Order: sequence, then C-alpha cells, then structure tokens
Amino acid sequence: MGKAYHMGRRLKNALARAAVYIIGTAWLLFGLYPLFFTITSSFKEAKLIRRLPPQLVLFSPTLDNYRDLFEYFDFLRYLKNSLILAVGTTAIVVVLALLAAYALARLDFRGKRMIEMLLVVLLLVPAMTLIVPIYLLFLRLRLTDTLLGLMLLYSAFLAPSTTWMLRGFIHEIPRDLEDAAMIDGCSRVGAVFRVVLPLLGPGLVAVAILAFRVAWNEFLFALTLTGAASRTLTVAASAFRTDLQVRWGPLTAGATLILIPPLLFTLLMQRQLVRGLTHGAIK
Amino acid sequence: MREPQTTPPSTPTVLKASATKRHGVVHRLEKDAVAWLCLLPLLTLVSAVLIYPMLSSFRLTFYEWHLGTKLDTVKFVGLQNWWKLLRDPRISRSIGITVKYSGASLLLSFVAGFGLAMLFWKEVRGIRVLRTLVLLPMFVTPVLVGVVWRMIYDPVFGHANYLLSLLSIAPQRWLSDPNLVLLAALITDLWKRAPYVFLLILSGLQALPQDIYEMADVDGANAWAKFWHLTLPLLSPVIAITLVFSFVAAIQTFDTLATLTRGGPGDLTKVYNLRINELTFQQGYVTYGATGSYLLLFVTFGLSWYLIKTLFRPTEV
Repeated sequence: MGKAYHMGRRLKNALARAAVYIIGTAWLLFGLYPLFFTITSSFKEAKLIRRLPPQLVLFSPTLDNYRDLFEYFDFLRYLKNSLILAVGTTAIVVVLALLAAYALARLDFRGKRMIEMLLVVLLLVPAMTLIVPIYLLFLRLRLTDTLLGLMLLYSAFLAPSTTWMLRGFIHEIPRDLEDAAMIDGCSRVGAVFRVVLPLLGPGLVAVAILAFRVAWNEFLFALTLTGAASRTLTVAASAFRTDLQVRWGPLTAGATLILIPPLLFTLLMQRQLVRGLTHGAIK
Repeated sequence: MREPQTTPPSTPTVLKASATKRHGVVHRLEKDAVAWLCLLPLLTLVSAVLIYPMLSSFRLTFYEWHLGTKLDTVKFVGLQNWWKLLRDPRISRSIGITVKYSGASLLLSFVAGFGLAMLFWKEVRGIRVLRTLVLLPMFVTPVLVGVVWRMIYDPVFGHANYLLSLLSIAPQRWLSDPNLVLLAALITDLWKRAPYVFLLILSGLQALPQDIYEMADVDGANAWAKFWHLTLPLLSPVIAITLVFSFVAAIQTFDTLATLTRGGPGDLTKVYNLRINELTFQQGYVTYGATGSYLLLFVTFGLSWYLIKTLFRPTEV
C-alpha cells in the first residue's frame, strides 16, 4: 500500500470526522436555541427581548417578568393546580401499575392473556375518540372542573403503558430472590417489599417521571374538562397566545416555568429514563 | 439460566389422595383471586374511564345530537353519520392535509433521527451528555412548542427572519403565508419529533452484536458496506416499529398546531384532530365528531396491527 493511499485515506477520515462534528453541532444549536432563547428572554427587560440583533448573553438579569406574571395573570393558581395534579397522578399510577404489573409478571392465572391483550389494545386508542363521552360522564359525576377528575383520567390513560413497563422490569428480577426470602420466612407481600421494590428503583423512577410529565403537559382534556377553579398551566399557556401576544416578557417567563420541571427531571434521570422508554419497544 | 436446586421441605408421605386434589384446586382458585385482586383497582379505573367511554362513543356515532340541546332531541340515525363522513369535502380536505403533513413529518424526522443516531452512536467520552441534550426538545410541553416557535416565526421580531436577514433574504410571513405555513409547521415538528426517532434507533443500534462488525473488518469491508449489508438489515424491525410509532403519533397531532397555527391560515393546517375538535366543540356537532374520531381510531388500530403482532409475544412465566 503506497504512502499516497494512506494519506488519501486519512484525509477522507478527517473530512468525515469534521463533517460529523459540524452536523452534530449544527443540530444541537438548532435543538437548543429555542429553549435558550425562551429562558434567557424571561430574565431580560421587556424592551431588550425584541431587540435585534439579539443580545444573547450580556445583559443584566431582572425578575420583573416573573413578577408581572404572578401579579397580573394569576399564575400561582395554575402552577399550584398543575403541581397537585401531577403529583397526585403519579402517586395513583405508581400504586395501580405496580400491583397490576406484579400480578402479570409473577402470577399465573386464568384470563391473563386476555388482560395482556386488553392493555396492548388500550395503548392505541386515540384521545380524541374519548373526549365527548368522558366529558358527558364527568358532567354526570360532577367531576368537571376538579383536579381529582383529571387525576383519575390521566391515571387511566397511563395505566396500560406504565403497567407494561413495570412488568418488563419485574421480569428482569430473578424469581429466586423472592423465593429465597419466602423460604426464610417472609410472606409474599413482605418479599415484595424487601426484594422486588428496592430492585425496581429505576423502573419506578421511569414510571414516575412519565406520569408526572403526562399530567403536567396534557392539554386536550385539561382544556375541555377544567373551568376557572382547576385550570392547569397548559390551558393557561394556550391563552398566552391571545393575552400575552405583545408582551414577550411574561410570556417567556411563564413558558420557562412550565418548561423547567419536566426538563429538569429528564436531565437528572436520563439513564433510568432511556431504559424505561425503550424497554417495551425494543425488547 | 439454570435455576439453583433447592430441596423442598420434606413432605409427609402419608396423605389421602383426595386431600391433595382438593388442596390443588382451592390453591389455584386462591391464586387466581389474588391476581385478580391485584388487577382490580387498575381494571376498575380503566373500565370506567377508557372502555366505557370508548363503547359509548361508538354508540354515539349512530345518533344525532348537538351540544347544548336537550337530551330528548337525541335521534337514532343508523349509518347516516358514517355516510356523511365519507362524503364530506371538508373532512376529505382535512384528511389530505393530515396525510401530507404526517408523511412529510415522518420522512423528515426519520432521516434526521436516524442520522443523529449514527452520529452519536460511538461511545466517546461525554457522548452521554450530548445525547441527553439532543433529547431535550422531545420533553418540551407540546403546547409550549407552539408558543415558543410562534415567537421565533414572528414576522417583525422573530429570530427566524433575523437569520434570513443575515443571509440577505427578505423577511417572510411564516405563519400567515399560505405557501410557507406548512414548511414552518414541519420545521417545528421536526424539531420536536427527530429526538424521538433518534432515541429509538439509537437503542436499536446499541443492541446490535459487535462481533459481526469485527468479522466484517477482517474481511476488509468499508464503512458503507458495513452499513448497507449489516446495520440496515439488522435494524429493520426497529426501523419498522419506529416508522409506525412516528406515523401514528403524527396523525394525532393536536396540541402543537393548536397553538402554533390554530389550523390557519384559513384551514391550511387544519389537520384531522383539529377539524374533529372544531366540529365537536365549536360547532357542537357531537355525534358527527364522534364518528370522525372513531374513523381515526380504526385507522390507528389498522396501522398498529403490525405493532401489536410484534409486541405481543407469549407470556414469559
């Protein structure tokens, strides 16, 4: 092999590598810039936000936009509602899904196949199909404009996917561990608490984050089923379009506040998240 | 994995045969009961909130009722709603827009997501951080995606036009120009959906066995050959699942377009879900909207049939 060949090859490799870096960086810029813009704008004085060329980094931060947001737009109430909704939904979902997933993963019973099929089918139902009957049902049950109603609704939506996820995680835990604990004198319930739950950590985290995110981000049903009392952040955000069209200060402040919790959880829990998200699809 | 041998506690050999049999049956019933008890809370909730409304919605498609009118105006109309739906020009238009939008979305996000997965596949130092950064747009509240990108597309102050001005291109009215609005919506859509494809394909890539590549290297295969003859065929199930998932998600777009374009200008971006929502709540034509939404359900189920077959494997006990 001649020297020219090697040099040509090295050049090609270097060019390929450079192209990779450029494209990768370009995409990251594309992906992160809207978020960067929103978050930094929320701390800028109103007149600076619309200034072009944009002052991206060198500006003196201010909390005025946030103050406006809370004072003039009743933001605290929406924040409180969304928070209660998200935490409540997560609690319900984790308990329900864990119970069901354990039964599906460990116990053998008649009708098991039927339940599994049911869960898979339910995964595919589009939300829009359910909106009217649920609205009518909630009207009858006096659950409209309540956070409890939404909590139950979201828990039902999340039930199939979270159960499936946890089932997969429980499958990975060897049965022998529970059996050993039971031989040592534990009841089945005790064995679950002592053996399965600790090992299920990442799975539970993935489920909790998913539940929180869905409850926090959901829009269609929140829009239809809430009134003034239980309005959530997403519904308020959609009104930003009309109320805050001109005022980008409070708009970006509100957007930042709504953005942060799911993003934060994502960043902190990325390892567990990735495992949880791809579990059902790839396995 | 071989199960370690455990010696069972010694059972007394003197047992009446009938006692053993009864014990077995009762035990089985007991086990069944425990399992069903565990499933009860979930099943109750799901039946009330998902199954019952699903059936109720189907029933609605055979009636005629408008929101706000008294309940005794409910009329049975048989298949009329369905006939009407299949002939409705605005529905057909909406379906056309949805297919165009979803198809383009699928293509763009798949190419981008696949490319990203290949780019960020190598396990170099710090790659985990970069991968997480790539994923971020996926987790942004869909409603906010519309709100934020509206700002970017603002004709006067938006940074999209600012970027164009740096390249000496005239500012565009992104969201009000009929020729550009779909492009603008697709860019936003790509921003949000590519990371999801990236995630799925990356997981697929990471699950590939490495030894085949080493053997290919020994045989002198170059990067392109390895990709075409090894990676792609091995990835085909993952690719198929990703395509179906992405398409199903795309045809159900609502939140982002509701805030980004509201279906406008006119009805150029009024994808199916937006039209159904308009029918149901703005026009109050509840039964017709239910019919339309059930059509979407049938389409979704049909498309996902492949998915069901792949995911639904025999129970591992």
